[in-house]
Amino acid sequence: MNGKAWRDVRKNFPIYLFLLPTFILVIIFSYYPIISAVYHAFTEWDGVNVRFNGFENFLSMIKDDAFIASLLNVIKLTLFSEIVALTLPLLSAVIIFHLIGERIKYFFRVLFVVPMVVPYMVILLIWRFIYDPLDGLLNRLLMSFGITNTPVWLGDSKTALLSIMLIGFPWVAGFNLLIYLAGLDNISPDLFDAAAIDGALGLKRFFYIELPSLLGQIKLIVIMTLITQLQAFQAPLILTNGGPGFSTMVPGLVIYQNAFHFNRMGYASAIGLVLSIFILILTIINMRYISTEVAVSER
Amino acid sequence: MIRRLSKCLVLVLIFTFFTQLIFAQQKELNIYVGGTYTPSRLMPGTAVREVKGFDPIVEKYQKLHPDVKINYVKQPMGEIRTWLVTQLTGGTAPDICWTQPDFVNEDIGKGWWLNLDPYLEKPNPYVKGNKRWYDTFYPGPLEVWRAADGHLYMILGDQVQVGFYYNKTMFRKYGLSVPKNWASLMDIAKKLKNNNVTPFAMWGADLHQVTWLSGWLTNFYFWPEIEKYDKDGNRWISKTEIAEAIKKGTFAYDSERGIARLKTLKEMYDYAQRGFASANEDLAKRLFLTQQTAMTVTGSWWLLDLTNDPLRKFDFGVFYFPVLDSKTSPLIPDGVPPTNKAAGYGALQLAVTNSAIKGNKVDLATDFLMFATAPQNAGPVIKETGTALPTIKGCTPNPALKPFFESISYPAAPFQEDDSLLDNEFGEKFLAVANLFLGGSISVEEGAKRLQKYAEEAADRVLSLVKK
Repeated sequence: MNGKAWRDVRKNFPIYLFLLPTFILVIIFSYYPIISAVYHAFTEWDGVNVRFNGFENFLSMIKDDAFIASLLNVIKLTLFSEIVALTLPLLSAVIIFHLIGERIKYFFRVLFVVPMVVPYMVILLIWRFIYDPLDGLLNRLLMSFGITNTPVWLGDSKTALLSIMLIGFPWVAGFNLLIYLAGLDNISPDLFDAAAIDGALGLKRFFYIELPSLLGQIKLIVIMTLITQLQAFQAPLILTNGGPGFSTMVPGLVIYQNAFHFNRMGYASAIGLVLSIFILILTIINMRYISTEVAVSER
Repeated sequence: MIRRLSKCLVLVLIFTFFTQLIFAQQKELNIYVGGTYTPSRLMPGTAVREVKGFDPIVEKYQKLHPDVKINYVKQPMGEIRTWLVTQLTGGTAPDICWTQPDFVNEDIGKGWWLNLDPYLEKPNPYVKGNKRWYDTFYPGPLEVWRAADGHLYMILGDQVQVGFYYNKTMFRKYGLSVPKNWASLMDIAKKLKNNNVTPFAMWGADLHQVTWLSGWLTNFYFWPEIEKYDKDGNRWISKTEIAEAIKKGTFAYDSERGIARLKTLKEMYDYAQRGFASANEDLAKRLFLTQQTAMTVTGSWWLLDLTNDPLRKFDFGVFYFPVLDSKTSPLIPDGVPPTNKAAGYGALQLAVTNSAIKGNKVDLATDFLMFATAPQNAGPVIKETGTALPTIKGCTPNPALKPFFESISYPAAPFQEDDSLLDNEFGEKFLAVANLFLGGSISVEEGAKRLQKYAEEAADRVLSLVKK
């Protein structure tokens, strides 16, 4: 730190002092666990006894059926979530953005955001009832159309993962919608006027003006969805416990089970480390190769 | 003004000093006694029936020891093992804590639980004429959980039992009677299915129900070979003994007996409701309660709740697991005796944790446990909750639990259930594979092959734990 920087710190010392408690808490509760996990990833750790075992945990992953199955499942889940996150909320945001009248816009915005306050646990329990093979809403609906051989959804290894994916239908996440709407609001009205004069309306306007202008938001949503999906395990934990078989197993659940059920915290840390590195690499790729600059220059 | 303020400050300091002195003399004990024995008043809105639970014991003990304050730790939300692991790792667990016996035995070498053997050898001062606390318990269920290092880390004050709950009204309608053996149970299931009634409400979301059944079958299919595994001849196959047998290849999931056992299990699940793999205990109970199935398999803890449930519109009964004989498989000899399959599992399962050890409260904690397990104290509490039968001598069981009286008197089942056979990890993998072959996603043979692989890995873990 050079002299100017020190002077700056001294000058704004009270401000830095206010930041200190937050900084300390972040170190204790965010950074310390990460460092601890990195260290324990190379150990056999049962919560009490620690023994250094080199790369043994990482080698065990290759032989772990549950972990391998979880990787394949999480790839499918993440791809699906990315596709959904990049289409339906965007479409809804564009439609809401172009609605005539602020009140109606506001109404729809609220309509999509209100479900955000419902705890995810409640949503999962509702979906459990929807998927109930005997009395569930979905099978009752299918039966009303004369379909008698209804699926057992969560109870069948062939349909369980698909059922997990379908949770949250129609998948217009309020948070993503708000991000897209904020991006659309930031586009200069002059640009829309100029486009209208040039005859760029409807799909043309969407592909040549709105979509390129939203690349920053898209990038953010890609990363957020990626991180959320790779870490998520609530739905499989509550609805299927990773089964039947390992058909809905995800890495988060493998970590949880190993750490808290099997006393293999070292192994769980190793999986966590691999997952973090995986997320980091994908985030770097996303940051480096999906550039928002292109959109700006084209505009 | 300043003088007046100083006087006030001095007075406050003196007051604080003396209050601290008084409270410092009061000893505190934190207890978590499990969901069954935590008073309902502490769990508003969650209890099906109002129970006083441990309240009378705590009140009496505090009256007898005015210097002791006992604090309840309420039933934690979520999965109990996760909560326990975090609390024990951090050294913040209650001094006395409810635990599953499997947990304490898997935690050997961590210093999380107190070895109770020296205390069990001492007299229980709260039981007249007692010379050895251990003698106040029925030894069978307690001995089941002697850990691999030869010590007892928890006491067991009661014992649950599981059985088949059946719809008597429905049985009468179709002219059915309580089965005498497994083959007749399957006949009943077939008749019900032919009448478009789903015979069994099953669940596969956790490993309890499936391993009660698979464990029951083990005790018949592997009975003729018990001498091969029971090295110490105590008619109880420990984890070490079974792990050694797996490594030697004398006990195998993919052996003829192993596959036949799994096929018998599958035959039963073919009579279960669709989608049982994702169903949980509550759903299975609901299906039985709403007469969508004729039977379900669950524990003594449901008996009183079901008896009093206003939604129940039928008569019900309970029968114990039917015995298997040569009618089911030529591999099973006739005359294999029924055993007590839930021996060692209860609701009053208490252990002393590392918090008491570190806080120098071991003597207090064990004294409270002695008081709590004295028949005059434990008896009424166990009777009131009515979910389990006492394993403390001199306690009278709740008469409502009569359907379970006989089976509990049987000798302990020699083979442990598949979730307790080796370790918890194997138990989870057993469930994962079982749901696949029971649901028809893979063949029984393929399931047996996968289970054998997981069993061999688990055997290595168990044997390495013993070495430690």
